[in-house]
Amino acid sequence: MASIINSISFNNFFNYYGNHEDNTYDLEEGVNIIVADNGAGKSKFFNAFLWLFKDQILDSDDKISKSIKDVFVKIISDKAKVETPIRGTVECGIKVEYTFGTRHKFQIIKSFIATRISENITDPQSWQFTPKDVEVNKSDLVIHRYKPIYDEDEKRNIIDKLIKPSFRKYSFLQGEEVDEIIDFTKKSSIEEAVQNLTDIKKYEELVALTEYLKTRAEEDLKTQNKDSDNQNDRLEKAIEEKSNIQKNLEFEGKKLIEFQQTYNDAEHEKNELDKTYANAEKRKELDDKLKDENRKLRTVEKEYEEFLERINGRFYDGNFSWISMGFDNIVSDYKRLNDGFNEERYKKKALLEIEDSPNTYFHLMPVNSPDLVTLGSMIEKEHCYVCDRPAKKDSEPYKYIVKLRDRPKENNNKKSFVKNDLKEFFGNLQINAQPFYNKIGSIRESVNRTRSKEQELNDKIAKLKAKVKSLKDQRKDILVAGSDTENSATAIISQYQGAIKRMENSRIKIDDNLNPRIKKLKTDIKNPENEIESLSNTQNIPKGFVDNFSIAKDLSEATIKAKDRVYEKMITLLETHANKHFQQLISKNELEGGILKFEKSPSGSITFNYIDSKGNIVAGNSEGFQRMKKFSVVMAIISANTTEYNYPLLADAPISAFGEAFTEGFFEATGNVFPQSIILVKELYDVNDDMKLTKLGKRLLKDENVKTMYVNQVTPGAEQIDRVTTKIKLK
Amino acid sequence: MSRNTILREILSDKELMEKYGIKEKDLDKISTSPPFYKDVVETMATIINEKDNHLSDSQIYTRIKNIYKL
Repeated sequence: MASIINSISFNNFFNYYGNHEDNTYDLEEGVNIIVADNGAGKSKFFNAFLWLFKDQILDSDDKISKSIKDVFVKIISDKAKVETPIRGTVECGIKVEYTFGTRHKFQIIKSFIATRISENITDPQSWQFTPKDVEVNKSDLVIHRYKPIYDEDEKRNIIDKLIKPSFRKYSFLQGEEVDEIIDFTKKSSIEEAVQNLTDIKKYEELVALTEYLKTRAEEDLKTQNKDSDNQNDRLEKAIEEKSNIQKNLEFEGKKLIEFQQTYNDAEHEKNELDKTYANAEKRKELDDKLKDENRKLRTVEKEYEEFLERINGRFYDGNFSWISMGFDNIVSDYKRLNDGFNEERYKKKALLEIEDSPNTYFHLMPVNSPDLVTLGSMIEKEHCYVCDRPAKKDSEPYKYIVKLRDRPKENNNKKSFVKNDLKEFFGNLQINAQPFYNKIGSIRESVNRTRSKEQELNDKIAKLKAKVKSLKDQRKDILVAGSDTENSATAIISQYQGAIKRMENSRIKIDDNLNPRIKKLKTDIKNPENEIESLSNTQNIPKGFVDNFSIAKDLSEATIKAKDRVYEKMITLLETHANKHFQQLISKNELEGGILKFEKSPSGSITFNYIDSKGNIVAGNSEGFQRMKKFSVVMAIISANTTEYNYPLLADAPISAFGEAFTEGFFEATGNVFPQSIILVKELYDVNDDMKLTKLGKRLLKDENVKTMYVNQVTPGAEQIDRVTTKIKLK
Repeated sequence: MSRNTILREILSDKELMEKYGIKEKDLDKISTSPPFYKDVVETMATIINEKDNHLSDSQIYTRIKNIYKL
């Protein structure tokens, strides 16, 4: 008889605004899929069951499960909160209906009332919380009419019957929780599963009880041993020998437990460190590389700085003479310019002087005017031969002729035209610059060489920086991906290696020392036990005492063997089932077929590995693959159950780490294992599709194993306060 | 898992079967309910039944002694 959830509905629960009628999901036996994008109500849907089973809600802000009363304001639909007037009330709740077998149907309602007392709707102080009693109703499937249940224990039983608490971890899970369910770092992980699936605990209790009964039977047998003949001596000796061996056995047994505990602790520590160790080892490797690369980077950066400093020097260093670059033609240019300048200068000087005293430079007489001798004659005769007129002494014409005669004398009075101090300066410059000037021809090559060197250093720095960044990114990825902390990688490695060493030491002690010794003692003890049995038979001891001891001894041994057999059988069964599911899960992938192998460690825990066709342990697969392996074991725990598994699977985002091929395999496999599966996924959502489904979603919609499919949607672009989840039933 | 299954599992030990003459074909017929055709069966059935009935270990031993009339 399986529990099948018929429906779940929400009343102002998170984004599910409105009453139960507005937010009912009808579900069926088989696979039920609720497709929703982020924020469209998947985890809220799941939270309803968390409330149902544990009175808790997983707070999406910090991923911590919290009591309803502590987060009640967050649970109420924001839209409903806004619409509630001050002093008004709003009810928030969930309702689940399920059938169990063919006779009864149950209804469970959990809810509370919140009264608004002030303005700020998100402030818990603005609301008063009033929880309502959980309401459980029961109905006959023939005459469908719910009758309330009042007895608290019965209410609890009805809730527990939906998914038995001990199976909830396999049947009610959220995403990465599957990693925790089958945590092979804990010895208890598989053992717990075996205990849930078998009566191994009963066998363990029977082992202890039959051992006790054997001891009591032996004590009673001893009381009957009254004679003092030879056989009696032998019997007493046998009893004493057995007692001694028994003491040794107990002593060795205690030591075995101690070493098993040491092994178990070390194994647990090693398994716990497995992920961090792999990370730590990688981190250490990266740290070493980083250290090395950083050192190289510092060296090159220093070289670059020194190089830059040297560049400055090259301008003024006579060996490089960079300052004179471009001055190749400076001397000839200077000479040319200087000549031109001088020529121009003289021209200008002449013009200026002419301007100032043109008579000094120009004869104011017509062409072929008289020379000095003629002028002298003209002065002497007081007559101008040019115009042939008299020029009486002291007259104006006379003075003019005198002036003409005396003209050259005034030229001594020269006026400076422009400064000419630089002639010497440039000359000196030329002399001083001679060593630089000689190098000008090779400067360009020197600069090119320097630029190549600079480029080379820059390239080196860029490469080293890129390498350092990549190493840092890789290191950061490790820290983000794993549960790794910033603990020293060396410390983790040393702790891990220490754990392995302790495991190995304990294993040697257990396998090579204690177990053989205990085995021998157990064989040895049979001799005195048989002796006691046979001697008791020959003495006058009542048969009942002898039979009591003999049977108690044999049953004690048989019970131990039965317990071991049952455990081994269940492990083998789990392995078979896990492999069957694993093959189904990976059937859509192009994976090389390997097998999942369960093996018992010296501490008694079960190790779980993926073995390839050559028998090698395959490690380091993707997260999706790892989760797939664990799902196989979860499914094996369900399907290996000797009785039919009676509980639905409720899973939120179980396939988030899977690829599409895994996802398809998952839906196929889950339908074969669980009587009902309710899977909340976003991977099948396609915002651009009319039906909001991916191709795989559409394929699954046609799959006959999929009985119902809903697509959740939220008001596009709406603020949180107006966000409302609506659903479309596709099937 | 029923009491019978546990009983049969424990009694299916080869050495025990041989020593007490329990035949393979009879194994499935063995039950924790009387009549018991062998003391070894009755003893184990009593242990299983009384353990399930939450009797203490010493109370169970007293019941066992009754089988052997001690």
